[in-house]
Order: sequence, then C-alpha cells, then structure tokens
Amino acid sequence: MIRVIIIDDEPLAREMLMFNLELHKEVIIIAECENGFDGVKAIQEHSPDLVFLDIQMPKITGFEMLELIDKIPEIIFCTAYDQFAIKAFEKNAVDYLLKPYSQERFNEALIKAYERIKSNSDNNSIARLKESRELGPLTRIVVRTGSKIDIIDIEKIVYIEAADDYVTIHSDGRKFLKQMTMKYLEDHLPSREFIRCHRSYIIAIGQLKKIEQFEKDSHLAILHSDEKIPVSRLGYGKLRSLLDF
Amino acid sequence: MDHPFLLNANRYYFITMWVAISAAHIFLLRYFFETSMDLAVADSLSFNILFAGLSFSYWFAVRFSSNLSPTFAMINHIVGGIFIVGLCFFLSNYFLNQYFNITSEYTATLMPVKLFAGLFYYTVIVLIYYMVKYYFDLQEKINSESRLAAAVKEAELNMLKFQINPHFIFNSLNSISALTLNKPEKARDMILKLSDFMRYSVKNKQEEIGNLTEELKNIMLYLDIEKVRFGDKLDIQMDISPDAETCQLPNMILQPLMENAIKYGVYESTESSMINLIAKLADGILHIEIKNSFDSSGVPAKGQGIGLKNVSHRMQLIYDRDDLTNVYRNENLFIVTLKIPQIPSA
Repeated sequence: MIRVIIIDDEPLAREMLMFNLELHKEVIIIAECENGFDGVKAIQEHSPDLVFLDIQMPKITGFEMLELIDKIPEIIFCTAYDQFAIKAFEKNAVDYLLKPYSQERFNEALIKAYERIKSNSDNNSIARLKESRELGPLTRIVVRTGSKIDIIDIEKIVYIEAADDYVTIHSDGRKFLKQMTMKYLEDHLPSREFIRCHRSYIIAIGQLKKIEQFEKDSHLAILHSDEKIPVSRLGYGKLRSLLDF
Repeated sequence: MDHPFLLNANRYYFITMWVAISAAHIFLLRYFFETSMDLAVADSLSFNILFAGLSFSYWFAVRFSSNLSPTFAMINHIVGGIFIVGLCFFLSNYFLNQYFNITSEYTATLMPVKLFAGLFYYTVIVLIYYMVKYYFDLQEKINSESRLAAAVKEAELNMLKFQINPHFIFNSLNSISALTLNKPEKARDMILKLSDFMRYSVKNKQEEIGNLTEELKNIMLYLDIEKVRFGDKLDIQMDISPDAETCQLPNMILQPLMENAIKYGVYESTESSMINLIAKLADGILHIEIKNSFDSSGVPAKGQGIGLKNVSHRMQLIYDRDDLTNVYRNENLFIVTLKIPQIPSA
C-alpha cells in the first residue's frame, strides 16, 4: 500500500490527480491540501510515502515547503510552466509532470516512484531536494518553529549567525532557527545587500552603523541595534571593497 | 541629392543673379572703358554665360570632393578654379577676337579684372555649394535620427505590450483537461473563452488604442477562466459609468493590472479575495481604479511589479506624461489608478 498526499491550490488540478490515481488500487490518498501550510502539517503528521506537489502556491512555494519538512518523502512535482524550476528539480525529484499530462505519462511517474519506495534507498537526492529551489536571488526565507510557519522578508533581516548545521536568523527583533548552510545563504542572498563578514556571520549592509578596530587583526561591526558582530580580516577586506573606504 | 539651383524657385534666383552680374559687367565696360554697346554686351555675355554654365556643373565636383580628404579637396578646388576661370577668359577672348576688332591693349587691361572677378565668383559659388551640401547632410541626419527614434519607440511599445503568461495558459489547459473527465460542457465553454481571450490579445498586438467596452469584454473572459480555476476564491465587482464605455484607452492596458491583482490577491492568498474595478469619465479624462485586497502577512515572492512598471512606462510613451499611473498601498488594500486623456474626437 502506498500512502499519498496531494498538494495543489487549484481544485481542478487536484481532481485530475485523483482521477489518474483511481486506476491504481494499491494507492491510498490520505490527504488533499490546497496550500503549502496545510501541506507541511499533513506531511509531518502522516509521513506519506509519496507527495504530488505543485510549485506555485499561495504564501509558500512547493520548494519552500520542502525546506520545512524533517523527513522528506518521495516527491513528484506537478507544474504548468516553470523553466527555472524544471532545471532545478530535474536532477533531484523522482519525476515531474508538466500540466496538462496524459494518463500514460502519469503512470510512468508513478512506477518510478514505486521503485524508489520499494528499494527504500535513503539516497542523498532527497537531501538535495531541500536546496533545489528556483534559481535567482532569495527574496524571502521560510522558517518552521514547531507547527508555526514564519515567512521572513529578507529586507528585514539584521544578521545571520551560524549554529552547527543550522543558522540563526535575526530579523525584526526576533530569532529564527533554520536548517541551512552559510555557504548557501552567502551565494543566494543579494550580494549588494548582505556580506559575510566572518566565517560565522552574515550582516545586512543597511544595518551597519560603524566599524571599530578590535584586536590587531580583527574588527567589530556595530549595528544600528548596537549589537556587535566580529569581522575577520577577510571580511574586513570584503567590506572595504563593497563600501569603498 | 538634386542640384540645389534646380530646387523650387532657386533656378530663378540663379538666373537673376547672372543677369545682374552681366548687366553690371556691361555697365562697367561702358562707363570706365567707354566701349561700344555691341562689344560690351558681347564681352559680358560670352564671359558670364560660359562661367554660369561651368560653375553650375561644378556642383558635381563639390559633391564628389566630399569623399576626398580635406587636402585633396582643396587641391581639387584650386586646380578647378584656375581651370574654369582660365577657360572662360580665353574662350570669351577668342570669341571677341573673331567678331570684334579689339586691341591687345583692351585684352591686357581687362585681363586682371576678369580673372579677379572670375575667381571671386568661383569662390562664392563653391562656398554656397558647401553650405548647401552641409545643410542637406544635416537634414538627412535629422531625418534619419527621428526615423530611428520612432523605430525605437515602436519597438519599446511592442515589448511593453501584454504577453500572455505561459503559466496561465498551461494551468488553464490543465483545468480543461480535468473538466473533460465529467463536465464536458464546461470544458467546451472554457475552451471557447480561452480562444476568444487569445484571439483578442493576438489581434491587438498590431493596434495601439482601443475602447473600454472591448477591453472589459476581454477582461471578463480572463476573469471567467480564472474563476473556473479558483472558484469562489475570486470575488469581482465592476462599476462602469455609461459615459466611460466608449472611452479610448491603450489596448491590453488593464490586463496586466488585473493579472497583478489576481496574482497578489488570489494566487498568494489562502482566503477569498475581492477585486474592484471602477471606471468613470471626468473633464475629458477616463479615470480607472483597480482595487484588490491582499493578505498583509504574506511576503511577496520575486517578480513583483514588472507588469505594473510596464503599464506605467507604456502610458508614459503613449501620452508623453509620467503622472498618469498611480499606485497606493495600505495595510490590506492595493490600488492602482490610471488617468487616460481622451483625445477630442478627430
């Protein structure tokens, strides 16, 4: 028995998926969600074997949704047109269905999913799915704390601090913990607005008040909130070239 | 490039000028040298007609020399000048010798005057030619520049025009695909609406201005299709005053605004959302207001406002004013207003 969740914001698109699944008696649909919030909740609660996932949805996209899930099931993406997204998940997803699709194409994707579920291989493609978001700079970051989901506007981020496998995002007077690498953030945050001033810190340029000498080889960045962030020698060089002093 | 002395009334000025010069020539001969009337007329006409003819054709030499380097052009004109003046003098003298009994003293006395006058005419004419040529070139440049500016503007306008969003097309096709399963009537209805919508947007690629009724008909098609996709999540109210219906506006200008409203009102919202369209005519200006509710807790994904920017840029290009598009936003309302000047019926 394969347990499936369908996540799509359009009722007719969900209807289409259910129609295609009807022929497969070994499949049981345990939940049907119309947005990413409900999707996260349903996946966490039911741990399904397979999820049919749309990408463009209200509030959070299919990709952002995956970032919030502890144990990612097999995913078949269903999308209408998303040239960048297709590139991104071609490598990592079980399969992707371009809407509209035929019953044959649907069956093909489902068979691929069966094989993956049977072999139960915990391969790293699942892990990579977490980072397979749309290309281009980040405009927001989605964070889950317990059952609560926050969407952080990157314009409100003050600084980001590394914490083992996680990062702590300081934004709008609050702290958010997120499983993400500093490298990923450094590469995807807009490079004119954020700078990695230290191995463990990324600061928003707009939040910077002044830079002070700390020790012989290091500096301190003082933010408008009067918080003090260490600046490495390398980070100081980056700051100088970006701010031109 | 035509000969400047053949353009419009210039030929008459050219002839008048040479008649005046010839008359002056006759007068000078009669007054200072007391020649006979016959000789004075023959001398003047033989020299001046020859000179007028040769200098007339010299235009082509000036045109040709514009391809040469300045030094070569200068040598060209000096040699040309000496040749033309010399030729006129000798031919005219030869003619006078044939028919009149002139003394060598007469020839010798007049030679420097004639040569000097010839060089003077020649210089003036070459300068006129150069000025004309410069003027022609300038005109040509201004013309090609304005042609280029018009082409750039047209290309820009074409680029800013609404393009059907592929995301919308494929999602609509997917909805149709789902409807064929057990609601074939609705599927057919949606196919018809989608084709009408696409036909309108393809047709209007060519034209710039349309009227509000047509535009609203198309907007309704679009909204009907979206309603099938999103059901009662979409609540639309329209308030169109009767005198606004025949107003003119740029084709497909409302489409991107509606799309924006739906994108941030419906696509990004989990609740149902309201879209309100008001159109009225006041003081010869069509006022349009599109208002949509949005969820202020949401953080918009990327790509925000490109449709809006294109609309505002297009309005600016068409009407040459930058105060026609306005955007207001408060906690949970997003309002775009357009002011569209109505050109008095031409």
